[in-house]
Amino acid sequence: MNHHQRQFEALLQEHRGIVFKVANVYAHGREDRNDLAQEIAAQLWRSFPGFDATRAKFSTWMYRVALNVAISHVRRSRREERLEPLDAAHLELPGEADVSQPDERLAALYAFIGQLDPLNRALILLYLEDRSYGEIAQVLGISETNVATKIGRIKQKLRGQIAAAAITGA
Amino acid sequence: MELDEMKQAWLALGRQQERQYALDLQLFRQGREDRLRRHLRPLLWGQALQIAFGVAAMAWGITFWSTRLDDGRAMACGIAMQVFGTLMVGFAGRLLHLLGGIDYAGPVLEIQQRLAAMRVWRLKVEAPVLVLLGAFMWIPAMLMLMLGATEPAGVDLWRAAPGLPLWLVFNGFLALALAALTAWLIRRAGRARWLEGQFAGSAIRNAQVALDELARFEQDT
Repeated sequence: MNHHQRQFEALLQEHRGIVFKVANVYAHGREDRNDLAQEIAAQLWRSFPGFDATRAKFSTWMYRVALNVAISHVRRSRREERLEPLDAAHLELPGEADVSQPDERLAALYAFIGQLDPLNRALILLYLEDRSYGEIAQVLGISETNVATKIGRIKQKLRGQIAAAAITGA
Repeated sequence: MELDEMKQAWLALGRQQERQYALDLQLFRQGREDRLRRHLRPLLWGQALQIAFGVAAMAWGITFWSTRLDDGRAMACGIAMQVFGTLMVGFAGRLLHLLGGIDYAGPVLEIQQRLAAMRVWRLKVEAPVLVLLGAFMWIPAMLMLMLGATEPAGVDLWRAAPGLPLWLVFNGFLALALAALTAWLIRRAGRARWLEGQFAGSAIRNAQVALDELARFEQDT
């Protein structure tokens, strides 16, 4: 194993959470999620020679590759035109057979993310991962102002949905 | 319940999950990336087949017209076949080149727009051009085969059946006109969407929807 490959594998191991979180948000079920995670890793390996640490953080670069692969994966999917609605199954821990009782907040969040288009899913994922507006803008290729506006709208939409659900449930 | 509150739960779950994620690095160590690119195979095979078919058509066309320089009609058939083959090779080569040139480390919006535009161009331009050409290519192909079969016997096809080329061309246009008339009647009957759906329309629609969605995301500020 050469130095280049060792360096890549170390970085990939360190940031592997990004691969799985992206795969989790875009894949259809467990098998598809594993396939997508491996597909993302393969593309990361192919793109790694072009990675320039002076131009971008490794995580920023990794998010770009992972999201591009995942969105292309969704567009290619012939099984259904829409993205699969996210549910409690997406909250399971890897390797565990049974789905644990999901946190109510997370279940509501996943249900909400499930309604978003692929790009807004990317936006909310980056926001939830505590990325700065600057980094989100860099990953998606839009302005920081645009990021802030879109996140504001998403928050507003979520508030509206929660309020509507509370009225229906009352 | 606010998004920021949900974010804390999300991050907590992420920290819990992260410890258990494991990527199969063995696949890279063994240099078996190809196993991970299953989805690309149909596209690559399809384009490779198109290139092989196009090269064969080009070779046939060139061999045919270059050995019949004294026969204008035979040359026209050979040249038409060569052009058809060149277009097939060109379209497939262009797609493979563009796909190879896509840098997945580029900004998501830009890369996705490029991919969607490529898909739309392929479905709206390449496919109809090849279908239209394919609808007429049987004429030179048939004439070339007939010439190849009659020449060794010393028969001059143009003299034996002087009206044949025109008759074949007439049939080609007739078939095209009938197809156009049928399409027009279906559209007139208000079944345009059904018609589009029958001819790769859903694929075009999906590609266009993706392109529109990307444009909206870009403009929606």
